[in-house]
Amino acid sequence: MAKTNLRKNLEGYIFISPWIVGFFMFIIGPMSYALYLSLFEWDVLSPPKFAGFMNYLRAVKHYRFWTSFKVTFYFVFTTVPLRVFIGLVLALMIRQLIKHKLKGTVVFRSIFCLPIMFSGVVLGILWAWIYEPEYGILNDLLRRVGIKGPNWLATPGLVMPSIIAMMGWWIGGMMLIFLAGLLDIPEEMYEVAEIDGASWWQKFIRITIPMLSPTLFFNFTATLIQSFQIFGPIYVLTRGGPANLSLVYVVNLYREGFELFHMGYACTLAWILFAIVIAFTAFLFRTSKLWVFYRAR
Amino acid sequence: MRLGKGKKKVLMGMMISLVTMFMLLNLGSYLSLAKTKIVFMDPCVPPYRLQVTREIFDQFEKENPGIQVEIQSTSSWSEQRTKLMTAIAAGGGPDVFTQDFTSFPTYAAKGIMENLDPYLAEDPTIDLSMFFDPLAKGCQVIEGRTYGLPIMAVLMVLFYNKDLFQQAGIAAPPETMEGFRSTGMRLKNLGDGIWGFASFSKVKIAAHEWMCDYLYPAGGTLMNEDYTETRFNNAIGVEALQMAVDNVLKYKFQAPLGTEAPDLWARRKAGMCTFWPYLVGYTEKYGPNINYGCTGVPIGKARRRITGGEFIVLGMLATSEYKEEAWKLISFIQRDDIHFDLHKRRNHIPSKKALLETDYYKTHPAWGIYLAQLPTLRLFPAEFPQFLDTAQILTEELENAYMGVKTPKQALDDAAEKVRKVLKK
Repeated sequence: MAKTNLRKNLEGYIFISPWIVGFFMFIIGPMSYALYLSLFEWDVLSPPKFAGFMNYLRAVKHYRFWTSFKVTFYFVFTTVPLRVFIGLVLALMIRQLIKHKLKGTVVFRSIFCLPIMFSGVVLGILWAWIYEPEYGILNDLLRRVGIKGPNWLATPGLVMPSIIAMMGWWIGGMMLIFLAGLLDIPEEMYEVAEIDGASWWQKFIRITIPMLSPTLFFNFTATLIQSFQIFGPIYVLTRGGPANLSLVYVVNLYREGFELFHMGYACTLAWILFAIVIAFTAFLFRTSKLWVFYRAR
Repeated sequence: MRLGKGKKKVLMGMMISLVTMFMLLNLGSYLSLAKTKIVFMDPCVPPYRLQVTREIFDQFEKENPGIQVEIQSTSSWSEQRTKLMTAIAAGGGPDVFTQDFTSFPTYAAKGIMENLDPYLAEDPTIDLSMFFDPLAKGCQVIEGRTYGLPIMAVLMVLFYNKDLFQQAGIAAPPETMEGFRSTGMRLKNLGDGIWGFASFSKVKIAAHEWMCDYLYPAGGTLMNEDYTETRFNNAIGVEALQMAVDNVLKYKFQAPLGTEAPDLWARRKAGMCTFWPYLVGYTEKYGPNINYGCTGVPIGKARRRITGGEFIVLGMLATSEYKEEAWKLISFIQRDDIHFDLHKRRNHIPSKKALLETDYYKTHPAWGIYLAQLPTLRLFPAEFPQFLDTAQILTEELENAYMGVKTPKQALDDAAEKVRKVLKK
């Protein structure tokens, strides 16, 4: 019996070994090396010099670290609720089309999912053209109705809102996950509620949201982690400027490592970000007991 | 399950076809293995420059049948630095590469670039005296040793649209900063989305642009002589930046931050534009019918023409496995006929004195002016190790000033404070 179990376990490990090897080689390995490098001053071109925890101290004292911290928090805590909200609203609309067997479900679903086909870089390039102050489509439309459009990416109060608006476009994947969650809610629950005289709002609050809470939790957590790590679209759009107004954390990390040649310090920033993301994720998991309801199987 | 004879034949035929196809597809690779492949890295932008470079290197390959050149193009000098750095860190890197002067001294000091003196001693076709003096001297960065050869000079001149000048009733381009402002305002008054002056671009870095356009002509400087103290926030620096900021925010004739000067220029929406040689080719490609002229950057309080700039260096990787072949490519690129062809078609300023004397460069409306400004060239102070950090800090604070978030004095004082901390390390 023991031999059979051992064989079964071994078979299992052999099957997942490609993933495990890849995980250690491409994730754990580089992460460990980055942790090691974070204790060194290294400009890539010369051998690393041991610096102990100086890089961590430097981060805490560096103005760009705190700027990128603030910008990232602003970005995360605006974009995440916005994207979750838009994703949910769109999913609810598609669900209504499906429920009432109306035409256009596939078309609308495809249109809403189209932006996620683009990489972050393409998204950034596209929106750079949209926001172009002289010839961009947005200011051109405004000009036609007699409004002089602002310099979207070079006006202090507009840089981050413009970027956040751009991210609101990138919700197709979340919408599909919400849709799957909505379609999984038994119709009978709504029928019973209707019989009891519940309004649409009561049905939404008392049935849809609780039943959708696991999906909400997943989307919220995944989007939060993704938002902390945002890089491509912002780097292409503004490179963190002007004057660091859009300097999100990872853009700062990239700049320190690859533009200013402070690779040891960049590794430090990477590990600090890891700690922050872990902390937030752990917090979400802990608090999920209060608002996430898993159905009994 | 046993296959019948017929099915066995079909299966055999399919396998033979697959193997033959695989071999044919890889034949090219097998053939090229017989050649030595060297890698050349350079920012070949806009895209036509890549095509020109490829054509010229095809000629090199014809003259040197045993050598194949692969071009790795980058989109900017910043990306070039990043790619080069990561390739070197990984133990690789291009055999021959161009490098802007802001990074060259650092790369040479860290042993990234090969000392070219032994090659120069053996090759009678190249001598440092062939190159424009400040550029040649600039390549001898470590104890007089040569770590690269100048390939092109980069400086700014003032482009002006003659048709817009005529419409605005302006007879000639401005010679002084005072004349520059009044000219800009008259051009802006033409309306129809026309700017008097455009300078900002993603191709430039704000700090460098400000130094060329305003700080140097004002007689200002970035740092003291031994790079231990800042000078950009002294009275000259503050006044120079105030002038720049006023042109954008108060007099509103300069296209603001976030606009693209080459684009505005090509669309005839900028009456004047200061730019690198990049704009010459850009105009030919995207604004071929623009009736334009060039002149030197306006004279400021320094009372003499000064234009900031740098040069581009052509070097060899110290760890290249194919140094002989790499030197052949460098020597080829620096040959008079190739150097001329490359620079004429890519729209660069050559670094060789003999070519600067040719009619093509002397009589060209743009190149003639660039060449006339060469004696006024003042190189960026790239030799001190914290130059990149300083330029980054200065760019951030200049952008604050250009957006009106801080006054010029606040911006420069804040930049100086941050640079002092960097210099202390």
